[in-house]
Amino acid sequence: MNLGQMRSAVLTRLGEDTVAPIYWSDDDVNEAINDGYEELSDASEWYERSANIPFLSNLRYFDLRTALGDDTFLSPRRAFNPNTNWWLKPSDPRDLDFHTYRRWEINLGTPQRIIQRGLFYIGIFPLQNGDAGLMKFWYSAMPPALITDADEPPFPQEFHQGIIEYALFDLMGQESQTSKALVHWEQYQKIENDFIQYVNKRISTDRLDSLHEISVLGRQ
Amino acid sequence: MKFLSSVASDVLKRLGDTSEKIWSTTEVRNYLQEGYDQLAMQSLCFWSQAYLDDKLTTGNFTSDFESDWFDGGDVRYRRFAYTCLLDADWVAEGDLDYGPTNHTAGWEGLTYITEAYYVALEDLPDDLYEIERSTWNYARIEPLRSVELELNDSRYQLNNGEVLGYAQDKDGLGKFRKWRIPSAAADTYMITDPCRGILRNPSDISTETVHGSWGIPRRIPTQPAVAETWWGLPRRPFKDGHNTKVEYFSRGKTLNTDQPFDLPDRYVKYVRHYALWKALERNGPGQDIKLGQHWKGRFDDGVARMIRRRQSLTSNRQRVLGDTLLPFGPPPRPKYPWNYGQVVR
Repeated sequence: MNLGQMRSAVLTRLGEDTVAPIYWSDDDVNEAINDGYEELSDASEWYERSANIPFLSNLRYFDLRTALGDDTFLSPRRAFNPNTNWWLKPSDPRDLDFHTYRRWEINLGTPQRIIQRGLFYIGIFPLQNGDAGLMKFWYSAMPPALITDADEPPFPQEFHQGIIEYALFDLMGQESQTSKALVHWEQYQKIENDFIQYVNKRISTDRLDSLHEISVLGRQ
Repeated sequence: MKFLSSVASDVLKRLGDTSEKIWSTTEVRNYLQEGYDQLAMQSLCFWSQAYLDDKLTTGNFTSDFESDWFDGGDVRYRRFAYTCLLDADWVAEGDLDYGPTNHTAGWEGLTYITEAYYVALEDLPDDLYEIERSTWNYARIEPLRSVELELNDSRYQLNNGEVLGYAQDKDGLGKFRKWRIPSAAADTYMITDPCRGILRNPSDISTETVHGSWGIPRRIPTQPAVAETWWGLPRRPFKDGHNTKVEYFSRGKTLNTDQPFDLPDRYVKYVRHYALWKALERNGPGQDIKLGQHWKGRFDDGVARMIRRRQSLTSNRQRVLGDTLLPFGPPPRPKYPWNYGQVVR
């Protein structure tokens, strides 16, 4: 379903005329739909993208709110150094403190590890010597908003119904119809849970027969 | 990037009160600021660094109330209680930590002082929630309980040396006690005139060739760049060498009409949820406890998501060759030597 179709569905269920609504404007409904789209995307983190982050001399930490070139960052995923063709190994600062050179912050070299600081900073180790190279950084983000009537969320349409339920919750909540709004919220939540499972089940690790007690993930 | 005013309008719209009959914009803005602070404190999403400089103690007032009398442009150094180390026996216990100070302006210390004094007790930044890591001279320093210091170094409040640890549990909230007291000043840059203007000539910082004779330096070798771009200018040239640094989780910037949220737009929605909760919960017309609780739940869910995302990088399982898990864990606790307390013949 595209934005126009979802708006019509919402207006119909609100008892409004789909062509010339009286109480709710098209903008109100579009905003509620986009709010639902955001909520579904935030809960499931289905939208994944990547960006190139150039290394700069002496810059250890990158602010992901600005370094990625947009303001839609949700969470970090993977990082790759195309100069060496190595994946940067996620590390905790304590790991570096206790298992590398104690003064690791002054080590210069080709970045091999990545460090998360807070939610919005990513650090590299060792420190790049000179303004050269970059890392390719994968992250989950918010998808672009639905703007034109033809815009459609790029996931199976079975889950689009969740966006409609959310929009109904949002609009009825604004009207102080709390009970009705919360009914739609519950229905939205069911679809949200299904969608989260759909996203997370893209790949799973099968169990392997083994004569050993140790699983592929180490001792359980 | 969202601003306070637009989010406040959004909240009023969702409350069905754009004409502000029940909730005023000011009230909603207060809820937003409150939610913003709560979000930062609970999720620890903001990360910052600050330097607690190891420098000569310069003091120019002896009681906190005096600081109200400083005029604009005056440099407020620190409070002091005595001027020579031997005076320490005569000062009140509470004043001991203000340390001896033998000069009242920074330039005096740089030029004329022969007896150098340093203090261990520093004020932490006002926006600090929690210290994540601390370093001295680029190396991690350990958080220690004061009782450990008492047992291992009973003169820890008096001994000078390299800073190897710090304590936070005895001197009050917002205080950071270096152990040991620094014995030398941190590596610093000499700024010719500490009072006026901006940094223009980096020749005392670097031997790098300066291109052109106009303008201001934008990047200085060995100094972190200001941002991920080529723009901006160095603000204060810090040195980590022989200096104490804290890396900490902080509060967001105070919001005002010109100050956008430090958060990506999506996370600002959580703050909106908080404001809706508080507005619907308050006594009086418009109160809707049930819907208010819904928004509270949404705020809590949002914070939980942020915490999970902040911690995701260190909690992911990893495949390894062999059955040995990575030797990762907390540092070993300090212990007495194996023969401590035994009679040695």
